[in-house]
Amino acid sequence: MPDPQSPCPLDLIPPDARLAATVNGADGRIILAAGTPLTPEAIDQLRRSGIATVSLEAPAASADQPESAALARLRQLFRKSAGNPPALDLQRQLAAYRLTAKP
Amino acid sequence: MSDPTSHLLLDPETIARSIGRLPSLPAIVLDLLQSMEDDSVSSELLAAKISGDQALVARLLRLANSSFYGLQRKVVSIPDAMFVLGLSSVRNLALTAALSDTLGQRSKEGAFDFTAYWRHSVGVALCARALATKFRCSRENAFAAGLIHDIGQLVLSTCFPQHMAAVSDYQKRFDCQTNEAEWAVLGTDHGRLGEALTMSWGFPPALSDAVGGHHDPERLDASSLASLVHLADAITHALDLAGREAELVPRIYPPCWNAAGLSWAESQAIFSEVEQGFNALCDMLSLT
Repeated sequence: MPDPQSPCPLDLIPPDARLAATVNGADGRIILAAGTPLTPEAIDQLRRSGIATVSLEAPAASADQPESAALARLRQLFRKSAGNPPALDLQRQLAAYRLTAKP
Repeated sequence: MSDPTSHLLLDPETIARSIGRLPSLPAIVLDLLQSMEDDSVSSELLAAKISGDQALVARLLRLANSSFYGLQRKVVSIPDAMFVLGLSSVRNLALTAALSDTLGQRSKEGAFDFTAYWRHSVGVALCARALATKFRCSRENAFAAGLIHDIGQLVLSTCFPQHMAAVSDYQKRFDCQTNEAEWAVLGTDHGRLGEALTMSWGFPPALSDAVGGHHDPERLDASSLASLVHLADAITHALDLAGREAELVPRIYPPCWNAAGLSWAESQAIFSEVEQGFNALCDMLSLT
């Protein structure tokens, strides 16, 4: 799953992602609450509200060791990518791929 | 106190002299590269040229008959392979086999990790091919550019092994990219060395430019073959295909990333296409 610490562009939100934090509009009203599943409809709603990026919930703890190893390796590969948004986008996309692709 | 590595700086004259002493590439490699820019090339003529190299023929037929292609019948000759797989596939496979046969033989000694080098190059070739339409490039040119993009590292390992060892030491010490270590130690990088080599060997200019510019933001205009290779290189590092423990994803130049404009579905499809093709090609090249 994407790194929950960095905002994820709407176009790159993976399937089954959830909001890590409530998203408010400029006037302070709640657009979507924390924990909301980011369905295509929810993403459209964010886009219509002028929201470009959101923070995603960290994935639920998994007992599956290979998944953890794959994500740890990704963090190691991207260890110098801070401050380079394209590399962080790529990391998110690969994290989702590693968690969903069949071996 | 003077810089202890300053004696390792490489000037253009030294590079040119060393490249001039390298052996020529087999004619088949140049024929294959130049035919990519020639729409009128005859597949029969190309098949005849490839057929003249029996080692190359054997490798190509092995791959054509591998489970990767899942063909219902056995491919028995190069013209047959061209009929079944298409001219582009055969040409790319032949180029890969011919280059690795020729250049691989000279780099098996010293600190240079030959297998990791070729695994990365094959990965970038496949990734560049998968990204080609995003950059309005031909898939075949993209594959060739990806395959040879780091050829300057072979120049270093062959002509300047002590320099390469110093670069490797610097990289381990500072945990940085190869080209950053090369600039620090040599005052140039493998892109520039590769560009000088491919120009001296008469490669098509677009390929030489991609080799020379793939780490150089000043040359990375968003639509160029160099930009495509730059992005394919980063994705391949991220896919961790070379088998290097200290693998590191390079910074991606934002205009290149934006030019590709990969959707979620497209990126997932590209990762999958690269990984699947990679295993088959590595098997052919004995890189597994």
